Amino acid sequence: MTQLSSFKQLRLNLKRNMDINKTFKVAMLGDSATQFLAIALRGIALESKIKIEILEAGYNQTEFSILNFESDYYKFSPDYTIILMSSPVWHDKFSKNAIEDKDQFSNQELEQIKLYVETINNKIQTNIIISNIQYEFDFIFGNYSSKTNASSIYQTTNFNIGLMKLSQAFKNVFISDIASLRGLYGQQIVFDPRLYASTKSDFSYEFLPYVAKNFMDIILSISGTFKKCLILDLDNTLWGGIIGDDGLENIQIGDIGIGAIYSSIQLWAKNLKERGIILAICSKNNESTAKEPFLKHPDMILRLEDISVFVANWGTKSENINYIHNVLNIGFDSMVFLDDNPFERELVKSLVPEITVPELPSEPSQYLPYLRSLNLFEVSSFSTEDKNRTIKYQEEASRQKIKQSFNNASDFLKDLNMKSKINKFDNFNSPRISQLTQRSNQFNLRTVRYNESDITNIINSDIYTGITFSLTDRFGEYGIVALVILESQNEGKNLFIDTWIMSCRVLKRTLETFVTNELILFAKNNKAEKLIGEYIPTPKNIIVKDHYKNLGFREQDNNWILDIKEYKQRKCFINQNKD
Amino acid sequence: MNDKDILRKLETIFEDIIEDGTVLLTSNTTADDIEGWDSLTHMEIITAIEKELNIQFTSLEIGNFQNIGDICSTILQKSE
Repeated sequence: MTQLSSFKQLRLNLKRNMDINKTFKVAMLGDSATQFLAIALRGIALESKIKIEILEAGYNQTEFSILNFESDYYKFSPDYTIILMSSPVWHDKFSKNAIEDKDQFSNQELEQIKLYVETINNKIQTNIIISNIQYEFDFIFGNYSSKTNASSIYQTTNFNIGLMKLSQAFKNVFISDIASLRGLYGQQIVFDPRLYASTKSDFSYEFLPYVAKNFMDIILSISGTFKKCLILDLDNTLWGGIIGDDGLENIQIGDIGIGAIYSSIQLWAKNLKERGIILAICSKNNESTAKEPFLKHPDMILRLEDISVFVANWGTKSENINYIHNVLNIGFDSMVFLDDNPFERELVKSLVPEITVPELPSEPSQYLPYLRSLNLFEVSSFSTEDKNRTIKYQEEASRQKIKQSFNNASDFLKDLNMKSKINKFDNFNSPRISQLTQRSNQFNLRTVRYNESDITNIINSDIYTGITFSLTDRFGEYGIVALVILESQNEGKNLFIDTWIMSCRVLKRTLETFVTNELILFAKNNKAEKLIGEYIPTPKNIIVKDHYKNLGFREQDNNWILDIKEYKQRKCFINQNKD
Repeated sequence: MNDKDILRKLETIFEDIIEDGTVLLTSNTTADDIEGWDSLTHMEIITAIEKELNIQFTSLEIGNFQNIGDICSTILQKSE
C-alpha cells in the first residue's frame, strides 16, 4: 500500500503554518458525512502547497444546493464541485425499491445526476468531480446477479457506465473512480462499519487519505499540474541483470528467468507512452551496450522509437536528468524517475528535489503493483496528438545532442581514479577465467572457449601466458574486467594474442590502452619483437572489429602486427595497483 | 490497572490526537470541557484507546459514553 500521511496528520496539517502557492475553491456536496473527507482533502492539498477554501453543503444537501439558485453553493462560485456519491446510501436506496422497480433504479439516478450537471452548467463555470459507486456484494441473487437487471451488481455497473458516458458528454465532468480504488485496497480497508454507524463516514480513517488523494490528483491535473515524462533506468529496472556483464542473451526479459516481471514494467511504460507520456532513458552504461537490447533482443517491448531521449554514459544521474530536462524543456515537477538502486534514487532526490522518485520495493515483482497504486500519471484530457509527442521530442533530442560538448570525457575519466591490478593466471582465479572465456561474446577477439582444466594447462605451460586485469574506481570494485592469453611463437620472437576479452561495462575507460601498454612491457621483458593479434568475426563481436587498428596495430595477412620497438606509450587514465 | 492509571493513559491519548497542549481528565470530564474533543475527533480518540489498550468497544458502548467516567469503567470491565 502506498504510504500517505495518516488522517490525523492531515487533520493536524490544518493547524500548522504551511507554505501556500495556490488557492482553490472547492464545494463538497454529499449524501453522507463529508466533514472527514473535507478535512483530509484540505490536509493533503497543503502537502502540495495548495490551500483549499471549502464549502460543505451539509449532510444530504446536494439536491437543495444545486436546484436552488439562491443556495450558498452558487454564491460560493467554486473552481471545483465534488459530488460525493455515498455507496452505502446508494445501495440502501436501491434495496428499498420494490423488486419490479429495481431494474430502473440506476437509470433514474443517472437522470438525476444529469439534471445536476446541466443545472450547474447553466448557472456557473466549475469543474464537477463525481465519485462512482462501489459494488455491494449483497448476494440476493448470488451469481445469478449477472443474468438479471434487478440485481445490485447489474445496477451498480450500469450506473458507473452511465457516469462514464456523462463525463464523456460534458467536458467539465470528471469521475473519481472510488470503485477501482476499493478494488485495489479491498473492503476491509476502505469501509469501517462501526465508524459508518456512528458518524456516517463512507470511509475508514485509514482509507480517507487515499480518497482525498484521488480527488486531489484530479484537481491537480485539471489545474495543469501533472506528469509528462517517465525517466527509466535500465539494468534491473527494465530488465533483470546487467547488460554490460550478462550480455544480450542473458538479461532477464520475456521468458528468461524472472523476465516476465520486467516485461510487465515495459508494457506499462509502453502503454503510458502511447497515451502521451514521454519516455527517457537514464543509465550508467555505454550507449551502444545500453541500446543493444532495444535493437536486438526479441523480447524487448520497448524499442528505440519509443524513447524520446536516450542517455547512457558514466556521468551522474542528476547531471543526466538535468540534460533530459533541458532537451524536453519541461519542469522537473512533471518528471518521474524510476531506478531500482536506492543510492541513485537518493542522489537524484537530493540534487533534484522537485522530481518524483518512487521508492520502489526491494522485491522486483512488487514494482508494478506499487507503481500502479501511486497513480502517478493522472490526466484530464487525451487526444491523438498526445501519441505523436515522442517523435517531436526525439527530433529535439537529436538536435541537442550535436550541441552537447564532449570536452569533459577525459576530465571525467581522470576523476574516476581508476586503478587496475595485474595478475598472472593462477589456480585461485582459474574458475572465473574459464567462465569469462565461456560467457564473453561481445568484447572477445577470437572467441576461444576454455574449460578449467585448459586454464590449468595454460598456468603450467611455458608457451602460454595468461594475464588478468582487475579494476577499481571511486564507485567501487569491478573484479576481473579483462584477460589476455599470449602464445610464444617463433622461438619467442613473436607473441600471439590468443585471447583478449574485456567486460563491456568498462568500455571507453582506456582500459584497452592500459592493457596494450602492459603487453608491450611484458614483450620487452621477454625479448619479443612483435605482438600479433587476430580478429575472428562472430555475429556478436562486431564491437571489436577495429580493436587492433585503434590501438595502432598494422594489418598484415589477416593478422594485426605491432612492432615493440616502434610502439610509443599511449595515454590512459588507469594507474597500476601494485598492492 | 486502576482508575488513575487509566486516566493518565487517556490523557496521553487525548493529547496525541488533539495536539493542543496538556489535557487534564477527571471522571466528570465531558466533550464540552475539552477544546478539540468533538464529533470529528471522537471516534479517532475511541479507536486510539482501543489500539493502545488492546480492547474493543461495541457500538452500543460507544453510544452510551457520556463522560470520561463511562469510558474508564467500560475499560476496567474489559480488562478484568
